[in-house]
Amino acid sequence: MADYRVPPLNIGERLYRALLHLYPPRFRRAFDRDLIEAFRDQRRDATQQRVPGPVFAIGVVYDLLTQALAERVSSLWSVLRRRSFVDQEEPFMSGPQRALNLSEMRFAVRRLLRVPSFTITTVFVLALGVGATTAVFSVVNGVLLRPLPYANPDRLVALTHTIAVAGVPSADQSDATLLFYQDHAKSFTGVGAWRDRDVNLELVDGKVGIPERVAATEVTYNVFEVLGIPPALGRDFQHGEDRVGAAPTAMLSYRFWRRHFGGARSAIGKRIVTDGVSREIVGVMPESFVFPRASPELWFPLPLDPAHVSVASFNYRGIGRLRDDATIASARADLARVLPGLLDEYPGGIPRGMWEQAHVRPVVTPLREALVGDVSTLLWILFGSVSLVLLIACANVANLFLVREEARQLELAVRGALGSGIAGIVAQCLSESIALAAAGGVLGVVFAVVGVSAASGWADNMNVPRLEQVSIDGRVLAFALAICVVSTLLVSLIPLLRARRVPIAIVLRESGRGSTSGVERQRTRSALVIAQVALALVLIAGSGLLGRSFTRLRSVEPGFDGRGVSMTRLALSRAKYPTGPERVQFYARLLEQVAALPGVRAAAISDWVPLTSDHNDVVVTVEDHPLPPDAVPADHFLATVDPNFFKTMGIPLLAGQTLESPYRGSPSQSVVVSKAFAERYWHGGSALGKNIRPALTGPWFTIVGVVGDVHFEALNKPAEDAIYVGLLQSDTSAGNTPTFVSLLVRAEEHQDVALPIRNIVYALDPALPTYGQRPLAGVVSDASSRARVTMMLLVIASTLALILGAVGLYGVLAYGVSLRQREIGVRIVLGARPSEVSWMVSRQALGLALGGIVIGTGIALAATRLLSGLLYDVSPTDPLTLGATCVGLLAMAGLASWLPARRAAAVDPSEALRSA
Amino acid sequence: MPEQNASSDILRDRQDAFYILLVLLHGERHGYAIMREARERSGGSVVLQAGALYRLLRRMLDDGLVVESQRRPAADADDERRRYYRVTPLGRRAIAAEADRMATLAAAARAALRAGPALA
Repeated sequence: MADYRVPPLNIGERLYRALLHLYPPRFRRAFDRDLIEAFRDQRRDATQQRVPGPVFAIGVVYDLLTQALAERVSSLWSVLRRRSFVDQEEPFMSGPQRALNLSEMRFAVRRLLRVPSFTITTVFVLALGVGATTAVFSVVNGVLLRPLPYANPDRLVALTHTIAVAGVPSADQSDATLLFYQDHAKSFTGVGAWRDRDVNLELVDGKVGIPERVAATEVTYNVFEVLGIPPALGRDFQHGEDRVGAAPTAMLSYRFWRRHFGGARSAIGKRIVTDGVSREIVGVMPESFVFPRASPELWFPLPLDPAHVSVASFNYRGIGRLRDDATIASARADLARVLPGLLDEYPGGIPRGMWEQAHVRPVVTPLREALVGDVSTLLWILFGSVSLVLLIACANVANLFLVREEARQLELAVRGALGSGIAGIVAQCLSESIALAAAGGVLGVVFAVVGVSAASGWADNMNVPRLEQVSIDGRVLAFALAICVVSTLLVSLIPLLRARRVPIAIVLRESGRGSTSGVERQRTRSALVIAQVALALVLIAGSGLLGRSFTRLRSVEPGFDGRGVSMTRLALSRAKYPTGPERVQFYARLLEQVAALPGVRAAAISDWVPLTSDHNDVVVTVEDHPLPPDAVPADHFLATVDPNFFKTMGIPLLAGQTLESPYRGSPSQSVVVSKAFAERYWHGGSALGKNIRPALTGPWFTIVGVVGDVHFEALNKPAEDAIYVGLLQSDTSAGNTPTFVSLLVRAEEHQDVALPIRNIVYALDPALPTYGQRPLAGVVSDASSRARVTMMLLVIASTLALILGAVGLYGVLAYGVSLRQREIGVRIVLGARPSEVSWMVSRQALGLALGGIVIGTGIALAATRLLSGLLYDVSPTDPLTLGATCVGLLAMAGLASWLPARRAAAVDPSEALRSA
Repeated sequence: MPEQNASSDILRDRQDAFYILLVLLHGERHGYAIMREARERSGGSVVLQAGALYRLLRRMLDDGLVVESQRRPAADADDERRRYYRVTPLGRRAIAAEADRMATLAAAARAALRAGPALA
């Protein structure tokens, strides 16, 4: 035989050696030295070949874990096989086989019904774990995993651009790039685009109804063809219909068709009037059809005009269908190859030098990725947290099993002695856990179904895309089944391994006394508790971080005072109010009547309500900051407002004055800028009197006032540089006075002005719908709703984890006290005071909790990094949160130890010594 | 016959087991040398990790295909801590049987490819 001295080990080898304990003892004894030798050699080679340390470590640990598990299973099998030949009852069935036997299952159920409290607790705990995990998985499945509901969805891509302009992260398509790609890109069978363009519905088949605002989308003729979904009724749009001057047509959604035509086929060929345009209905889309993003009710062809394109107005969302032989990379290369020819074909929209400065580069993304976006991290994090809850639940149930097995040791030993053998015990344990997991699984799926339907409410607040596609399908059920099987194994694995190890004779000899096997079990249970505490810590730290981030977000000043302000959306018909003065006249009459309503303090018109989906940015040139020739000017937010906007919104006027009133009919040459804008260009100097213009050319505007900063886009981004222009500018042609505006009204508290406002609008223009009426306070709270909902879900998960952890700890301590009664009795006889005895128990609790905290903090430090994208102004390793979590867990340990400690102090020594 | 079938099961299931025996046919080796040679001889397609290797060795020891060698090759005299393995006569028979089986398979496949109707 070889020399079996253990070679000196370094840290890596020590760790490796510790991990070898995962193998069955027999295997470990036979091979541990060889494995360590091989590990040493492998590591030497890996270092020579410059394999990164973590890569090597992951490979080694993975190999070790899988092989150890496999070896455990096969050694268990071989034991079972050998035993079952001795087993005279059913000589040819092993434990697992017997567990699946119907009569064995019936026995198991009967046994479980005899201990209802154990059974109910176990099933409930498992159901919570399975239910939460299944519910979140169904969302993950529907949103992230299930293919998009289009023909060959993996060939669909979103087409965007990167662009080197300050404040613009990416750009979609302009009409020029769209037309150009349609003609020249070779990697696609089709390139299409759309833009949202909601409309006022005025007439349906010649009949006037209540004026209605309808979600509509303008599309290229081929969008449905690119998606691979033909209309259910009628025809698709045709080539040439998406050009300016073509006969106006419309495609209906199934819902619109049912609502306005009762599902009649005769709808095809009839006409609807929207925004003053009469359109022929050509088709109806299928009921199951969902458009990428939002769900419009009507589709119109885009009025593209190749002769008058705007090269750099990226207002169209582009999609394409890849040819079979194209890849994402080749498609991108193809677009990048043709793009430089754009200005040759469409000159004049933008100076060539400026276009080159902007570094426009095409980007091709799988459509699903483009649609789901940043939600995927969030969902995977939620999924991870509920999986942790499931793990904790399993650890808890395993603990309950150990206790129960303890109580039945004598019974099992007697069965063993009578020849039932290990297979019988295995069969019992397995069949019980199968029955419990099945019941827990069924109940869990019920929880999940209830949870998912309840969840659609909160998920609305999170702006989760594709939510309508979430449901419990075959894959979700298969998943639920799989986690039931896994939890059965997890739950019964530890008792099973124990059952094999305890020699029957010892149990029989020592039954009723505090036996060594009892102590060893207690050690296993302690390990389970430490694991529970560690996992709970990870969850609690995560939700603590989100909680802090959320409170930070809530304390961000939006820059305006939304309390008591309500908004009402209006969209004037361009046909009815073609010029600026006509529109302004309408707004003047509207504001006059609204201001006269009782309780109204101020009212204003604006085309941009902060923190809503409104958006308008323009290039801005500043007179005393001339740009080098062909440089790309910066982009800034532009809101068109009336002079009362600042007063109504509670935005402070920091310097100068507000805009002039447009209602006297005089066009304005003035502009108001935000503090950030003034800082950016004049660094503390006065901005008043300076000239800027919201365009490359044209007349200058004079800055007359500076107002406080407002968060327009989101609370978790810095307040933007913004400029405010008047409703009526020097160029009084149609373009400058917005038709799509919001009426903002500040009223006394508890004064409901919604209905009176609707009545006023109706009296002024019966064809004009009002919509989107809501208090601004709601808009502000919605801006942090994703953070709020995520935090709430994590808080729920971590509360569950905390409760389960406390219950597990309590169980171990209480059981430990009952095991050590005799020892405690002796201590008390020898003069230990009750407080010392209590402290002994509490110390054990704190020890277990500390163990869990040390391990958990390590995991949490690594895991909370995943959260960093969701956090606002909080570091993922925020020491305060981690510290508070640790203190909280210690407090939980103290609380869980309170009862067992009291019970220990109250042990009656004479009683304890006599009964033992 | 049944014994031989049982002992070559593992070879049929696991290509890497086959390579372990193949390496050992060239002489006695210790664990890490087996891993290295198996990779070389298979042209990189059999990459064994230590855990997987020793589990297979354990099964092959149990099945009597290999045994631990008592002798040390002279060249490796300084490496006396390591355990060396060699193929048993049963192991030789098993690998021969497996090689025959594969040769039959290969011959059948070639014949079928030659004789089959030319579809393309």
